[in-house]
Amino acid sequence: MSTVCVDDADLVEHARQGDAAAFGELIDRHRSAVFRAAFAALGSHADAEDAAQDAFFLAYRRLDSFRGRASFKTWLLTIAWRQAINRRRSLARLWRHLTVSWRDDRAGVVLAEIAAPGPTPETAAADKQLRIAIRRAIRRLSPTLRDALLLAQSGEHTYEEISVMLDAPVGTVKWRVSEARRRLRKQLISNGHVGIAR
Amino acid sequence: MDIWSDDRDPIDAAIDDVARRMTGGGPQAGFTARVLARIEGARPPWRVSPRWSALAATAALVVIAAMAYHWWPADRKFTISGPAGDSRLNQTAPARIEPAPVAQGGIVHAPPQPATRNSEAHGGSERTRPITPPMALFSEVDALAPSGLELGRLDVDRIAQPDPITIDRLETFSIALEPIGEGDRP
Repeated sequence: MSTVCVDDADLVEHARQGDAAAFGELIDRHRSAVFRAAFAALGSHADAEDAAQDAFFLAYRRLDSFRGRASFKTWLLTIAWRQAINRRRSLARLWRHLTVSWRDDRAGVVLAEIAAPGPTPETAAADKQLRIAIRRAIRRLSPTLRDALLLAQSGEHTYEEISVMLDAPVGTVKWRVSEARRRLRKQLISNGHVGIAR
Repeated sequence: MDIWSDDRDPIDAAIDDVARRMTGGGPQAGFTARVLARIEGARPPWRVSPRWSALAATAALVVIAAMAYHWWPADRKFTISGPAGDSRLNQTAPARIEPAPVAQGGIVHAPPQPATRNSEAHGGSERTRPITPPMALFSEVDALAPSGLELGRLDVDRIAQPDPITIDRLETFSIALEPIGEGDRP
């Protein structure tokens, strides 16, 4: 079946009838959004991939319950988000997350070093320090604010989709993003990073 | 990306950029194939589509109904009326007992007549069932009852008289009642 011009609803219908290629096309279309949602919740690449895989597997098994009231992507993201949150709540996953946080910090430092082409060595150093501080501050945010901020900044999800995933009104999601930014800025100022940046 | 080249506040731009990087990336290559393999591995071999399931269920119901019709005992067939049916069953089917007339204030009201009595007026003569009086029905039923048991003479006198039961005077104790305190109230 050619799936180039077929919309999600048709692919879902074909997948319901056992067409694996149709469901494969759905995975290809939405795997990035699903992965990024899971990554926002878990903060670990490996965990996010496992959660995304679980989400697609669960979605396939529940295809019959998809009524089409929301878009397939929204429905899928809701499943993925729940899978990721369940995984985050697991004590074993939490322990692993805590033990690899130092390595993540190192990875963040390496990424910052690669991606920060500051015009002068002083600016580059300040940029690098600021990114590390922001990363740590984001991790210290409450899950409610952090989830909203990361999902909004992932570039894969609209506010409406985030609203469904978090089970909160769009206005509340926007407020959470704004509040997360405000608290991060306040913390960075209190730590003296704004002075470094300016 | 140079976060300082953004027109916005550099702190906000830096926050957005770091947050974007914290959710960046994507699953590894072969992700779709892995998910499909997992789905294929978990699918039971007997799983069929819902349409085939419904068709199979309907066919099974038809087979069960045919078998039940074939193996149902002929003598257990229940007919309400009909000249060729079992006479006993024909007699027990119209077991409708007419209510007795009710007297209210010296006036005897006849019980309400069922609509089936007027069915001939509606052109339903073939569906009309003759209503037999209850007494005639009981007499015919009595004729079908087994004959009475034949017993020898019962010697009632030989049954021993029971001993008289004597009850002593009951002893009662006085019960003192006291008012309930405030703290005892529920």
